[in-house]
Amino acid sequence: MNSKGDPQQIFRTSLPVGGSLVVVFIPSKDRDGNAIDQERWIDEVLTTLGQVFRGATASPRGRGVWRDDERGGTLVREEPVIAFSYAASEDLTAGALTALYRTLSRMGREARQGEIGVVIDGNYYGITDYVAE
Amino acid sequence: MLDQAEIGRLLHASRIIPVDVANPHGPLGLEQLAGAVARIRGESQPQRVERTISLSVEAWTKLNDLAHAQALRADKPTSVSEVAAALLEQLVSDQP
Repeated sequence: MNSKGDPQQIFRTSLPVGGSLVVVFIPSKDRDGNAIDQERWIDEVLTTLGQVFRGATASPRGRGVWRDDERGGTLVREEPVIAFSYAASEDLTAGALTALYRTLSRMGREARQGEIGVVIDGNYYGITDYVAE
Repeated sequence: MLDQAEIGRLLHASRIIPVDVANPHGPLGLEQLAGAVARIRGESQPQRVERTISLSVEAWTKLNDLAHAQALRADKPTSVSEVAAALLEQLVSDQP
C-alpha cells in the first residue's frame, strides 16, 4: 500500500485547495439585546461567501449563558453563528472583500450592530463603519 | 496576495487585532476562535452596569423620537437605550 499520495489526485478533484480561513460572526441580537432575524443573515453571509470564495459553512454554536461579574453578575446570552470559508489565495481579492463588506455593512446597519467581526488568517477585523453603497 | 492593512481598508475595519489561536480549524478550533473573539469584543467595551428600568410610554416615545432624529443626523443606527443612557449620564455628571 502506498503510504503517501496526493489527495487532489486520489479524490479526483479539480477544485483549488483553500488557503485562507475567513470567518464571519453572525450575531443573534441587536445592540439593545433584542433578537434579530439571524437565519436571514446566515443565508446572506453564506451566499456572499459562496459566491466570492466558492463555498462556505455555517456552524451553529452550543446555546449558552455566562455570568458577567464585571457587570454586577448580569447573565449575558449570545448565540453567534460562525460562518467560515477556506478561500484560495487567488480568490482573496479586492473585489471579493468589497462584496463581503457590502453584505456585512448591510447586516451591521439593518440588524443594528455595534460592531461586526471578521477573522481572516488570524487577524480580527472589527467593522463599525456601515457605509451604504 | 493582499496584506493585513489592505484587507482592513477594504473591509472598512476600525481596528485590527491579532487572534492568538494556534489551530482554528475544525469544530473545537472554531469554538476556541469564537472564545478569543468574544474576549476581544468584551475587552474593548468600557466597564458598564446594565440594569432594566421601567419608563412611562410617553417618556419612551420621546426617547424613541430623539434616537430616530440622532440616527438621521449621524447616518448610523442609534438605539433608544443609548439616548437614555447619554441623558442620564449627562444629568448625574452635573450633580455633586
